Amino acid sequence: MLKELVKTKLRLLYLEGGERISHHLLRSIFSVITFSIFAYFTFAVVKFATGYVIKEAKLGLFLYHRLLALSLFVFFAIISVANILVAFATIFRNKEAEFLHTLPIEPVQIFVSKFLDSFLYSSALMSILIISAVAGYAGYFHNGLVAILGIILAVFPLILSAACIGSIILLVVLKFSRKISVRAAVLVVTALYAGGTYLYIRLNNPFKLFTDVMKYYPHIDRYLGSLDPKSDYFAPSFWAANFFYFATTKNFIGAAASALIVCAIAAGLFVLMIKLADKYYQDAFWIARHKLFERKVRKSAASADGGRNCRSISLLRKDMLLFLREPSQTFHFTVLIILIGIFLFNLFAMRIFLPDNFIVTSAFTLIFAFNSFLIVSLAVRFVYPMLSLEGESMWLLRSSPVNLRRVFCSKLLPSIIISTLIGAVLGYASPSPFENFRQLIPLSTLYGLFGGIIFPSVVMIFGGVFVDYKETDAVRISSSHGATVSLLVSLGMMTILSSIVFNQTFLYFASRGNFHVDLSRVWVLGLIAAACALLAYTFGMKALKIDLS
Amino acid sequence: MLELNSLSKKFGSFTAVENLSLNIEPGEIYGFLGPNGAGKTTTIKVIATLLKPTSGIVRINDIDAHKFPREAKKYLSYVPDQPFLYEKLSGQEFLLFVARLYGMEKEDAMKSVKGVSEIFEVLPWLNKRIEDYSQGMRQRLILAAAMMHRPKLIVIDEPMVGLDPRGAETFKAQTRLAAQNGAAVFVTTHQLSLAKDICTRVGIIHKGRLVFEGSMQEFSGNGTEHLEKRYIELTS
Repeated sequence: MLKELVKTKLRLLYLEGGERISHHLLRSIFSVITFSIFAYFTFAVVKFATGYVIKEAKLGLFLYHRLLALSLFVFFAIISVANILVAFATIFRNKEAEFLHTLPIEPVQIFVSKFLDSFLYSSALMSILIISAVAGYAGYFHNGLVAILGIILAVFPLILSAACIGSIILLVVLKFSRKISVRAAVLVVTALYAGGTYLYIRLNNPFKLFTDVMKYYPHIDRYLGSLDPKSDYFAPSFWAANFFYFATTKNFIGAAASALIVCAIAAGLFVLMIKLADKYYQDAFWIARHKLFERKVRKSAASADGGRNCRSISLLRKDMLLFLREPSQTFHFTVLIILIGIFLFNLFAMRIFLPDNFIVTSAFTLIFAFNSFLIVSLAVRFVYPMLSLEGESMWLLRSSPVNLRRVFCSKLLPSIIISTLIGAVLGYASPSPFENFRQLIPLSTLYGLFGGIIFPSVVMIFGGVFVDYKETDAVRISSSHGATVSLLVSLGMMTILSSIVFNQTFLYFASRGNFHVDLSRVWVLGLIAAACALLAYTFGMKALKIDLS
Repeated sequence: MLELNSLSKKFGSFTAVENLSLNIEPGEIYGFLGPNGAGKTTTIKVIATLLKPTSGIVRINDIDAHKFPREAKKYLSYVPDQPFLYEKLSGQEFLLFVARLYGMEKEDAMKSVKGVSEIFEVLPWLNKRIEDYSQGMRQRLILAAAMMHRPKLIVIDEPMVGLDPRGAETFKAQTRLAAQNGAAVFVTTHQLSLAKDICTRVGIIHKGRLVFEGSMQEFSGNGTEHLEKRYIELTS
């Protein structure tokens, strides 16, 4: 049965992919170009950064691979969190999962088939990113074999481990939400996640490691494993980084042992996930269905007793109510806002004193880039699905005497207002960790403000181009192919904006705050923002007017 | 064939189904009627094992459906009001996929696909993708898929959605035939005329409770007009 399920899923993947290319050739070419640029950019950045860290900064191979381990850990955490969200949408609240549960199939087989579905769905972007990064790494060391083996033996098992952990957490949360509420279970998991990540980063203090390693100068390319905290051994990302270290230094036994550990962890987690799914999936599915159906039943009973008149609800209020009544939307939004709050708090509390102007400017640019990344994340997660989410109710809008322009504006304008607000606040706070920062505030706030218009608009353009009125799940829409393209294009724009910021602030930091920051060209950004908003309007309106089947 | 024993389903403080007991024998067509929000879909989802009851037992062919769901589902066919279909598959591929999931051998599955396709008149459309099907054609396909493995219990939620008069007649004839061949049919509908046409027994649920159960004759008395009056009396 599992064979039949997987065979059908692969066939569907092939059919949908083939059709996407033949029906939307232009869109597909654009996607391929975007993906290729992004992949090449990642490749080039990693190759350059590897060269810079090893040759210019002279950190040595060991320290470089420990930084690699830290980066891989961050990727690992992101993939597992993303997988929790997509797995819930795909394995529990999806129509196909419901259909399969009415057939005489072992629940664990449904779980495996849907897990693969969600794995392919949520890990595509990360896979491109990591594969390009590995290629950049191998490009620097002129060792193609390391890239191929690294992807197969270290990176793929790492991504699989992250996805398995995400699904295991989801199963456990749902299982225990019978005893404690879902909200409490999610809070416990969030606290554990945040605690675990904080502990990992604290135990792996790069500054301490740097000091410890430098005591061995000039033998800093040697394997200095005795300096690693023992807690590292539990992180698969550590072993993946070790594989690259050993493969590059031609210690093949070390590389094989590290690869074996990464693969064993992945296999172990996969088996554990299957065992847990075998035991808990059916029950977890019932719990999830119960929670999802509960709202529907209550609503239906309420409407039988005489519901409220929908005509009186304005478009804006309707969108707001739908957003607030969808727990996955409100929960994810709250988490992102809390993260932004924590980041803001840290910005105000942090003080950065660095001797090198290049590094100070880089630190400021990085903070700015992270601000933009937060806005891009918010936009991809919440703005991108807005048009597609009209889905099943499109017939109502199209058949009512409603101006579609108003429908579109009720979606874009609130998004822009919220993100410009967040962008401006983040921009205002960004310079505060630096000395003599006051002069940077207007520049940084204005950039944040315009970023708040540009990013949601860019994302909305793609939300219109790739609109899918058949998908009803916001999480799945925001992890779709089109959302990935919108994320990549936004990241590209973010990089351009960040490099402009770098250029504009380098002289300021070099002059220790005596250089006057030029604001006269900010109007160009305003122009770009207006153009993006106009394009968003054009493509959004086009999406609202397409023929409905 | 289907036994609901003191079945209750609560969502927090809200009771969707309360202490529902039913017994449907092979060959019976049981009409489950009730106004919107009465608990019909909740009941049907509990029978199809998509929801777990708060208390009570669902037995399909004497198998506890929530203790041994896979065993119980071998005898069940469930047609929801908004069925899921793989849009990119052709009708034939979809039917074959379902047949294989019910454990049918490839040869038997092919024969069965051809048979039900002829009955439900989807044969000319069989090689076309489901995304090209009309609403009625989809309904025919899903009904064909439900009948394909000769289930002992057929549970159908609102079967007439999108069916044209010819499709509706085919559905009625096939439901009667399935019942004659020993299947038990549990059908929810808002169309009292459909219940009158095919059901041997009806149950009326209102606010989660079974307010009437009896033969079609006991319910309908002197005809359709009386049927509607009686229904409104029972559910107001």
